[in-house]
Amino acid sequence: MNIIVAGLGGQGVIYLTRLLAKAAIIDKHSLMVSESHGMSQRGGSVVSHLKVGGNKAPLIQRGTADLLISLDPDEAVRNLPFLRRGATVLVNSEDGLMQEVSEQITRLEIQVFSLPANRMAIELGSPAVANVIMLGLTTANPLFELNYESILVAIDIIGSNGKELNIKAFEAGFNSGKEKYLEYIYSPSKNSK
Amino acid sequence: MSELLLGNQAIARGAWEAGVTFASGYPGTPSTEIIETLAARYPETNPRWSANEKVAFEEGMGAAIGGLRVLVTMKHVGLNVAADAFMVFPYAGTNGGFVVISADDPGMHSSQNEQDNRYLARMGKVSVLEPSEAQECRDFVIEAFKLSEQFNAPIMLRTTTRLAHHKGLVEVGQREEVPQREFIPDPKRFSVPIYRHLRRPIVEQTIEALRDYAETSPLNRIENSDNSIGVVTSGISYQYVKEVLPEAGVLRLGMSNPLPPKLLKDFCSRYETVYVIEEGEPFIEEYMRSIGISNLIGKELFGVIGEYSPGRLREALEISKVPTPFTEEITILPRPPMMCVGCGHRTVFATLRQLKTIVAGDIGCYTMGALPPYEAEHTTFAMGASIGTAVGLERAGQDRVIAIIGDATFIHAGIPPLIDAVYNGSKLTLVILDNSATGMTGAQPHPAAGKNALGEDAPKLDLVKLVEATGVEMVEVVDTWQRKDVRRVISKALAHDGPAVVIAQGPCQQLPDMKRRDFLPFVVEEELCTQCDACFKVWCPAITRTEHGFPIINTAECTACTVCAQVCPPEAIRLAEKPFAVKL
Repeated sequence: MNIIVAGLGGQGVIYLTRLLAKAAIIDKHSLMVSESHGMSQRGGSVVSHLKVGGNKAPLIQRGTADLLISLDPDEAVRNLPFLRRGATVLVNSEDGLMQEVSEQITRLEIQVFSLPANRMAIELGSPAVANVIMLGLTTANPLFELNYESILVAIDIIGSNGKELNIKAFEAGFNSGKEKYLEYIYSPSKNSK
Repeated sequence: MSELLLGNQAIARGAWEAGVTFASGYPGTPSTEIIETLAARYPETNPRWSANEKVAFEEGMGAAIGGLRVLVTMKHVGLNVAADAFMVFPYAGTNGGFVVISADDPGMHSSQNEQDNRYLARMGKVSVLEPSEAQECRDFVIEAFKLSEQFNAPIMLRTTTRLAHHKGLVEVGQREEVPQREFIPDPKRFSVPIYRHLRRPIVEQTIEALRDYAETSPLNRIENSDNSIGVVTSGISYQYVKEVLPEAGVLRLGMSNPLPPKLLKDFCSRYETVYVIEEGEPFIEEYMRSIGISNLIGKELFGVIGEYSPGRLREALEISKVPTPFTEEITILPRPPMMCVGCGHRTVFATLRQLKTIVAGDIGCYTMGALPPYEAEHTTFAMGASIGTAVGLERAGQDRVIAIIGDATFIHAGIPPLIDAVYNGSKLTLVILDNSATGMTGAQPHPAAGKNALGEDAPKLDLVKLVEATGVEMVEVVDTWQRKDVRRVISKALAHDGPAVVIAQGPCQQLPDMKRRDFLPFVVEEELCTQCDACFKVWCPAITRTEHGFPIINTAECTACTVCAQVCPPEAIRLAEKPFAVKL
């Protein structure tokens, strides 16, 4: 499974990547992770590539990613070319992706699920946990290959401080995800969002 | 046991396992995490941040001839700073194992140039190992120490950004305690130029012995030799070759200097055409051509500029690409990095923009002062270059020149040019951005920060006294968040008849103490706000507009730097009454 994690410097892309990587190891998958460091972390675009069970080349090729998790809607659009036909986008956004890409999204059968994770994080008490809310949304997705329990163990191991809040955030994302996916599965048109 | 490690963490792990007892370096992307990992996890390696790469190298050199196993780390341009010692060390040869990491940055993610340090190694007659994955980052470091002691030779381990910053599962082992080797004082080996001619042949003998070793070394490996396509490759490019040409016959060179002529000739003779796929300069290719191998396709097809990728190789080889299904161009404005919310550099650059001066910049976060909205930095070349460049510009007739340099960069390479500016009668105006951190690389400590690499208290360099000692008469310290004071003091320094130094002080927002401190953010009181938009002109990314046209401060991002409140005529920007966010 090829996963792209995108966002802006300071949103916690690297932390979210670490949690996914830890869970993949717990599930005994082979793993390659590539991260942005240094200058790119100062508010600029940040992207991580995770290859779960793939080869060791450090980057995911365009057109081959199965899943894009983005903490910012514009950064999601920037990274769309990494996706294959039929891939899934999970985006932290109030209203999905920008209108300009909707035609392509539909044509390429890309499924987009969005969650207002920033707003939810503030309601939970800290804007910093939007990334963990998005991890919850990811874990609830029926196509996601890593185990729910492994994700929780990962949060437990690298949650350092604020563990309780992280678990709350994860569950909030997970529960909203379950509703969204159910809605999607049972909706006759299977339109995204 | 295996661990998920960053390439740089794997290097640190390998150094620890190899029994390293001294490690020195200077922060620089993509090398920084090596010393950081040693400091956080393996303090028995005695890691330190040195004042600059030359100092780091020389301390390491001393420790190695004194019999310790030593790791020295730096980014590619750091080796330029250390080059004086780097070029000479092979003449003496080492005693304890000595490995220097050169972390190169193809694609210039965080650098001013794209230099390929294998050429520096060839010039210095230093052997180079190039790992291709996280596991090899660990393994090759351990191997490098063995080679270094076997051949009494300093060894360079070259990484690149993708290798340094990718993570893979790494099989790890235990630390081997290596007894210190005896130091035997020997002036003929370690001293004066008059004896150098005695050492000169030994330099050649050593590199030729390493070349013999390279012919049969397991670091250089042939795979699928029966296939019809042949590829010679090294470093991270090996992974791209495996992805794009999985069946090709491959000679993977884990040791790229010195190169093994027999092995190369023998491998190439099996194929009609051999592709040489190496990111960066044609280092291997040129050597191959120089020994008469001509059935090669290399740089003319793959190019020298920027990073390689599987896609780039596919395109060059005209192998059908896995096309991205996204056919239409999706334009998203680029999001370049910017100065942090509450960064103390912002007020200084706002002032420089207003003063319409020519600004000779330096290396650090403040290179972003050249970008909008400030556009107030006109040159950036190398560490410490701001001061010399300003002196030269002034001599060339520019009368309103300001040199700007961070505290870490000043300590690294700014002191000799300041001494020179005073000595040679320049009217230099210098602003030192003193944020108590090596900010750009992640707020590492330095000699004026009062902490060492392990986070322990350390003697604090007094920048004011240091500057005064050079003979500068006007030295003023200013709170970097006080706009009016910053403007007043910099204007005064510009007008001063003689060299003048302004030290703009305020800690980096990335420092742990700054992130964790308790403070109340600022908020806008809409009843008082007249929508004059003065606060937007401080260009704080945390200030946006509500749908009713009022400014609104993102309280989660606000650092309470006070700058927006300072410019608000009706004083509508005030401290919030309660803390906003739960701190993580």
